[in-house]
Amino acid sequence: MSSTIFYRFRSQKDLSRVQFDGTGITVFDLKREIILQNKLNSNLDFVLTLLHSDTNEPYDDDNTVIPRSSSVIARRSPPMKKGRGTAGRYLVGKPRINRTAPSGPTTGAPAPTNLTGLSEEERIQSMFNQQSQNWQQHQEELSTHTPVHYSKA
Amino acid sequence: MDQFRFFCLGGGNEVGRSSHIIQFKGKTVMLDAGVHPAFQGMASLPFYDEFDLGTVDVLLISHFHLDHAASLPYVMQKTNFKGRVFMTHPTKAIYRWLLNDFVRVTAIDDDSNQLYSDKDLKDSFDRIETIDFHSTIEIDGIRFTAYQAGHVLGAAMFFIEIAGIKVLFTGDFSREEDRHLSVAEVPPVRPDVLITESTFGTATHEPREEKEKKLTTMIHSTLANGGRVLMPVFALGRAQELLLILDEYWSQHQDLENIKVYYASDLARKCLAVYQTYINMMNENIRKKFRDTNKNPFQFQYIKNIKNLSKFDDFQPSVVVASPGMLQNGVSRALLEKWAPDPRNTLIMTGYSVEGTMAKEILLEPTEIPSQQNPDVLIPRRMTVEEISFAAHVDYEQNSKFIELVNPKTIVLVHGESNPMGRLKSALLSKYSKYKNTPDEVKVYNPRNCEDLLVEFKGIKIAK
Repeated sequence: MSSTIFYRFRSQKDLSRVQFDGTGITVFDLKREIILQNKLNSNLDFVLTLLHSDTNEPYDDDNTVIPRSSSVIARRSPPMKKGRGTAGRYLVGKPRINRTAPSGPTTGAPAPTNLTGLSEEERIQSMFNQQSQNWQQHQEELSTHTPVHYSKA
Repeated sequence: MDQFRFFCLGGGNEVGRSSHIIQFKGKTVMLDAGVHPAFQGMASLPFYDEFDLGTVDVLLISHFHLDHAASLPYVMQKTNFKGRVFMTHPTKAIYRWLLNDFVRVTAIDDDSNQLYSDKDLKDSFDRIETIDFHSTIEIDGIRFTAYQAGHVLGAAMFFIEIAGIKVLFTGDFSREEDRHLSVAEVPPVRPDVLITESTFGTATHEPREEKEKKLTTMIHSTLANGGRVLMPVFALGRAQELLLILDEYWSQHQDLENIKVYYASDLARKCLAVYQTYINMMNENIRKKFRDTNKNPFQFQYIKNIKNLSKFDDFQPSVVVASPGMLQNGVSRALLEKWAPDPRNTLIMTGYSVEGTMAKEILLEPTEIPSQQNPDVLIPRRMTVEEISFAAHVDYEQNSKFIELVNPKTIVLVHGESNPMGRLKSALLSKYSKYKNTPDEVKVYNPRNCEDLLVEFKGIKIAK
């Protein structure tokens, strides 16, 4: 449990946190964690939206990966139509995974690979792979930056 | 032209977690802050994320029931709410004990289920202000008055005035005179908007005398046959009315003298002091009785309190009024399991039963019921099950009569399941159909949760 995402419900004052392994967590998994943590599952007839804490923009895609240490705002609202698009999906359903490989260079953390059917060892391995892949990407990105040297003004 | 905005955070097309927002000319008033009794934890809260609670100027609590007041400590301690909170004196007195009990009950299964702690409750308690019936308070251009609503001790209807727009919020109310409460009053001024409950929709109640007669004959015949009577009730609200009925009946029937009546609720015992104190807020009957006999009617002659079942020797016929009302656990459930196999015994349900509880299940008269401690063990049910509703809400006749007397221009329905609410709406619309397309047209709305309702009104400028 090395990584953390901070979140708070829109009406709340205090931050709560979700802990997980890896460099980032998908919107799907994060919602699931928030629902379980707050015991929202006694009545699933609501819609859960996550918002970017700075821009207030919603994370629309369940497969978006939110990098660790980010803050998000959670918003619980009534469903538009009874039983439609409600949070139950995050407990029993699966995320809609886009099977085709994303084209072009990805920014941020790579989407997690499908882990079902792998042993514990292989899962850990895949997590490390993901992390080093991410670090490589980050290094590549850093190499294009112009250095700013420290000087006493 | 200005827009009056009504916004339901909870209690729109449902019973439970009542919380409504009204806005006019930049002023915001919040009405009630409850939880949904069928759910736990965060899931039981109104949709507070949908509204910035920091903008609320005044929060008015109509009465102490959990579906109207139990999320108040959460609102005051955990959100950025900065407004002032008002309730009547008896509501505040009972609220303290009732929520203390609520905190304990929710902490039993799991600590993380708790919305707030006892400390939050204490901290918020001192910031709650009280309002007398028929007194008017003005805060920053929002003027409000509390009127008697019946229903339970301390229940209030709020008449709110913002920049000339008058709104009446009924909360839960009853129009039938009972043993200790007065009926809901009709305010002297005509409101522009009426926000009213619709719990029973278009249903009709049995007259009170008939219900009481049915209840007492049933108890009497069970006792005469050597059976025991169990009446599950909520600790507060209707329990006190039932105790008054029983105490009176026992005083009129000598042959019952040796049969004991008990009420088994710690909370009811604590709050009985509140009932004994606030006699002056009850109806004329009970105050007259108090004056004439010089004895407090809530100091019962024939009714004893039992703290727990270990001190209760169950050797002869008796009547026990026990909580909780929906037989989920506790004393009422323990007695049910003990008494269910004997066909001489009777169970009388007097309250409102929610789907998914034992109370609802037992009304179907199953032949076996699962034990609470070990659901695999089945207990045969041979005791008689009866339902006599003593819920203090208005039925259609009373509600439409009240609406006629209040005579509002716009009606907003809240606190009712979709179907009864829809039926009430169409009944009201057909009643007022003759005014359609005239200046006297009456509009009826039944908004869902978080659905904006905007009504155009001309604001009136008042010189201060």
